Amino acid sequence: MPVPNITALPNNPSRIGDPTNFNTEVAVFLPTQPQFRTECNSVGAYLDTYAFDPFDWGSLSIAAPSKVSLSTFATPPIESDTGFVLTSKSDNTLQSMFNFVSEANSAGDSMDLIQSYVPSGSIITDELRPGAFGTVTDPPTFTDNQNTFNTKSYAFYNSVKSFADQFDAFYDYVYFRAIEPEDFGLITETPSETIDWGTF
Amino acid sequence: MIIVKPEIINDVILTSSNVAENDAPLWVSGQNTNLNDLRIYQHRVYKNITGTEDVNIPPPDQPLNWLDLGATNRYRMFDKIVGNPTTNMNTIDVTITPGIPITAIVLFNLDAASIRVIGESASTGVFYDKTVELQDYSGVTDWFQYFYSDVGERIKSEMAFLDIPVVGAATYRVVIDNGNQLAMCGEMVIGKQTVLGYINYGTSVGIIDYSKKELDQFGNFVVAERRFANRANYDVTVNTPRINFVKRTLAEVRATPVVYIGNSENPETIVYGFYRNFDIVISGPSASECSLEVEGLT
Repeated sequence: MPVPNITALPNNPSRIGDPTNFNTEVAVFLPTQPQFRTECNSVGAYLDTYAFDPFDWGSLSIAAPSKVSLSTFATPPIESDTGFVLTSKSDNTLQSMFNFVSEANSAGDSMDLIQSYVPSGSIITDELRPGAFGTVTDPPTFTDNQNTFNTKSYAFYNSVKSFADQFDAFYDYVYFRAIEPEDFGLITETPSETIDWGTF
Repeated sequence: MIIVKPEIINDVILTSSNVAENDAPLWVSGQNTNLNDLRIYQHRVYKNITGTEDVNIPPPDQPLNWLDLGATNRYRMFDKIVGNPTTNMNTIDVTITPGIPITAIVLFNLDAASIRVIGESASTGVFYDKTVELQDYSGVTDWFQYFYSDVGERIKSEMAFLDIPVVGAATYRVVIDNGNQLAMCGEMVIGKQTVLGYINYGTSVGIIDYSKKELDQFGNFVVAERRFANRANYDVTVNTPRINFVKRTLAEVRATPVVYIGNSENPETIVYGFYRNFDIVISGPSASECSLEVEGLT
């Protein structure tokens, strides 16, 4: 079963970058967040059970796929932020959400491919494997009053960033373990052995 | 507390503008015009109000025949009427060559997303390049306000560039950018800064509204909306040894519209107009108190 896809988000509203279309884009963007949350949590649950053999060198005849680049997810605003700082951070958070979807789907495809190279029927114990994914919390909705909307928003956008960061770390782990070349440069011991050829 | 005495901007100083000057045909000596015809003369628009005229005498010299309707759109931002703006789709892009060093560019009654000022000279190349966003985000205090508060209503309408280096023989390009909407600038003032003192909390700002609101015999309001003027009562601390300089400086500009800047970070304290009166109380050997009442141009 492949890594679940996340449905593409509509254009992210931007108060600073595109004030003309902001209100229209908010009306379209906000209602997509519940589905986004559900799908992110599905991806997290799936990756918690994602199994591959990190110690399998795989087929040496197959060219390794390129690593998908995942953008750094912007830091959402905190409750003490106001004015331009809050607006800028909010714009950047929504932009990061928009960018994350396509990047995560590409990384998911990459992990599917990696799994096909080094399959495993179950999770193999590996001290480097990241811990379980946290959940993305409930997003704000149009029907929420101001207090509820704000409480949900701060929690939701922080949980999305946490999820994105965890996803990034997990993909790095999978790619590093399965694809990146082994570095033997750290070997410092010089083996020595005496061979007794006996008496000629 | 800073004042900026404005330098004249005419068609010699204004060396480039992307705003067309096509409000009306140019007045040409010897050419007949008809009643209600409009003509441009020396960057002002005139209307033929009698149908009769001496075709060889320019409109300003025939006030009984020609009504002065004001500056052309291109020059409205230099006509000392803040409420009569230059407008242009997307951007207003002007270049001025003052011929003398200036240290301040101040803009009033703006409708724009950003302002960019570029200073350049043959000897230094580009010595100043600054872009300022005009949107006022002070009303955005949480996620709810981010999504639901009005966008675009709270735009800073005044902007002062006060950190321009002193460079001779320079040109200054000012780009007023409003994205895909109509850009607007009521007035652009250039000049040198003079520091009077330090503004204190206690300064008050407001407007003088020239609208008429009258009650008819039935108790209904009849409103005629008219222009308004910004006003400010500045509470300023002045160094006592500089009192004579401050008094003399203000006396010199008593009949000249000047830009008064309380704090460049607070656009509400930037007023272009006349002072009505000022008082300086000599409070002590090092610091004295000055109150300055300013009424802005409409």
